[in-house]
Amino acid sequence: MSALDVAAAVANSRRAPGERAHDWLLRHAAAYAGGEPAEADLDTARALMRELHRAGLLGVTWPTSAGGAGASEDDERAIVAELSRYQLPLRPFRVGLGTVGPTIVDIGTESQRARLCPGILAGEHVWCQLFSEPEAGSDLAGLRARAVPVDGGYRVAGRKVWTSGAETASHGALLARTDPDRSKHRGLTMLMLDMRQPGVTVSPLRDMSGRTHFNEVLLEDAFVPDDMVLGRPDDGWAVASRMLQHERVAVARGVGRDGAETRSVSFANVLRLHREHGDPRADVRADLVALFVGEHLVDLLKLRMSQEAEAGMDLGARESMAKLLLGRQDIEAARSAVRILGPTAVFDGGDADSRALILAVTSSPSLSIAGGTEEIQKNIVGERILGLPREPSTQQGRTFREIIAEGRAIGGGN
Amino acid sequence: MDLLLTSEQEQLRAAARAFLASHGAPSADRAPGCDPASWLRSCRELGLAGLLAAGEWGGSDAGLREAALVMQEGGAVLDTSPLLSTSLAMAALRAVGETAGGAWVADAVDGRRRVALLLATRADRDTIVLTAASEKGPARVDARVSGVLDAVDADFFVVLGALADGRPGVGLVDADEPGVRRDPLSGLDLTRSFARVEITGAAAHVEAVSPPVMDDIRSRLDTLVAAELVGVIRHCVEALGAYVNTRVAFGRTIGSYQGVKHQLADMYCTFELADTAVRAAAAAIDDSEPDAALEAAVALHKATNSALDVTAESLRLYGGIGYTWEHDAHLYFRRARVDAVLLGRPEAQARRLAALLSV
Repeated sequence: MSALDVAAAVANSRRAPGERAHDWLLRHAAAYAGGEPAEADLDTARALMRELHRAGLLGVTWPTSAGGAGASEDDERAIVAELSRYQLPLRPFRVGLGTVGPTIVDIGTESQRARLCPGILAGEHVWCQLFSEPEAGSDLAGLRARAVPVDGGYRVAGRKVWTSGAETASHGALLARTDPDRSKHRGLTMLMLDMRQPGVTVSPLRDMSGRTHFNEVLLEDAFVPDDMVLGRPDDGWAVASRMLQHERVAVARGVGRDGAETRSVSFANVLRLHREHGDPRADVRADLVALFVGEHLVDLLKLRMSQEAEAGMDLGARESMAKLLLGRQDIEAARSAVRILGPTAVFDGGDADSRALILAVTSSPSLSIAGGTEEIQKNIVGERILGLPREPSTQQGRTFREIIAEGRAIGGGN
Repeated sequence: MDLLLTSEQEQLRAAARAFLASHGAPSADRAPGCDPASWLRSCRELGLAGLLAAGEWGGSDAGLREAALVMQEGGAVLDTSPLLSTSLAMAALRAVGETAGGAWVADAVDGRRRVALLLATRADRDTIVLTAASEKGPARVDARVSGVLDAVDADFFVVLGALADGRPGVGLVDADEPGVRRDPLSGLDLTRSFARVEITGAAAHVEAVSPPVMDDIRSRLDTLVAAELVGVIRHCVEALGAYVNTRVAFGRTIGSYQGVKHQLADMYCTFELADTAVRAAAAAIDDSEPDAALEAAVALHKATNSALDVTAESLRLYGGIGYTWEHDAHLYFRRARVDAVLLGRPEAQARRLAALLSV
């Protein structure tokens, strides 16, 4: 076989799974081919998951022992490229598929993979992430939820916030402190919590847009058995970092981000509304140009980065850059919409357009906060891309217990 | 739209980077222009002047993607050679296609003669009238343009304008023709030369072009200038990044302070956006996409505004050292401001963008 033949064969094998996915989706997912993000009830979504899994389009790189297809990353890229052309209503399964599942595959035990991964792929298990706390957001490692070793496992207590999907979740990836006498990052453990047990109370958290997409989860003496520790005890920070890395990749590939909320402050929609309802005497050309340019630039950047990812390039910290810019564009677009449309953007005219606008404006800050604030992303860009030094920590070499004691002295925090 | 670089394009970029860093950068005395021997080498050994020229005239028939990469490298080292002016002129000639000016193009590709581009950027003062050959007389050019890059050393001019009947056109004028007058201008950019050019009834080759061809030329000019500005931005981020990693204040390198680090992160993001916009514009032009003019206008708009911001912010972040005559920061600051108005003021660019968007 000549070098050319080899190259052609490689290209062909790479194309084949993509073509297979393409054909399957044409036949089975036509309902989701439109531009509008689809909403579906949990049962419908679950049925779709089962079909996708059976067709080999989910868990492509996961080993067969975990219910996956055991295929290559090239295959997965080809399939994800096809999937991303559709607006599949898989939101409830996002955490399991994109974040927790891949981490179990990476570092779970053989038994954990066999027990937990097939349930994710078949849509039976819905996962949520129990990470953030009222006093631990950007500084996640400062979390206080305690997991105390008991006979056969851990008893957990604490309060988690900003947990999406907790109301439907069967399982939670819970980052909790198992040893407060070690340094902040060292005494954490990743526990896989059965959400349906006494001691787990889920209550909705209302965000500034008025919606309840998130929850607060109160843990009071809930139990996690030893065989549901993911990774090594007290090594939870590394496990969480790995999960967040998988999450960033999933977000960058467009798995899960539907952009439905901010769609109504897109250039096309704002221009339409301006022409239909706007003040024709207002000179809003500069604002319209700014809105178009901002939106177009991030669209181009997304396109470039997806091409880079498909070509197998490592995007690294540039994913943080993309998130930073997408988040900022949401805010800028909402601001432009208000400037351009004036009263139309701020008063409820009783129609779907104006309600969607108000929702877009009030949900515009969400992406710049979720998954790490702008400031955190800028640290990552500065340190990992530009090679700038980290800010020296005052918490180096101290145990979490000491840090907490000092925090009380400074801020009066509880 | 393919926004990735091929390995050939990466090789071209590396070659241009290496050559321009040692031959294009400003001299220690910051005098305008570069050593003529260096320019001849870049024409004859690297083929930089002929990148956009047709193969039959000795050019390499490259696309805007390649030219934009080279332009970015030029911007990064503050290139003082006639690379930009030559490329702008070549882009204009290339878009015209077959012209009677092939021999002139071949001279410019080889570096034997230099070329500069004339276009009206001031609606109130600049005028360009092209007259085609007719029974009334031979073709001629009448022009008054207030600031022309590299006009002083140009051996001939490519002139963009309109004919008497309003059709757009392109003219070629030998700089030695009677009626051509050049008055050197000093100004903000110390490392490049500019002149006011007046052409009164000079004999010329004049050709009418269709409006789409003129739009295509304009897209090429936008993209080339935008690419140079992206190079300016890139240099600012790299050089400032290196400086804040070594400069110590209050016992720490200043790059560790979030107040500094976050501004650099913002600059880096700006660079990526502008760089991507230029790649998209070049790709759209090379692939003859219908939105090429819009992509090019977006690229110039973004690159211009970002270069104005980044060159000013980096002066501030350097502190006192950046405000000295010896430091290069002010040269980039100067270059960004002159490039920002090279094809017309940013406000006019924004109006053109609005027109392209039909808003």
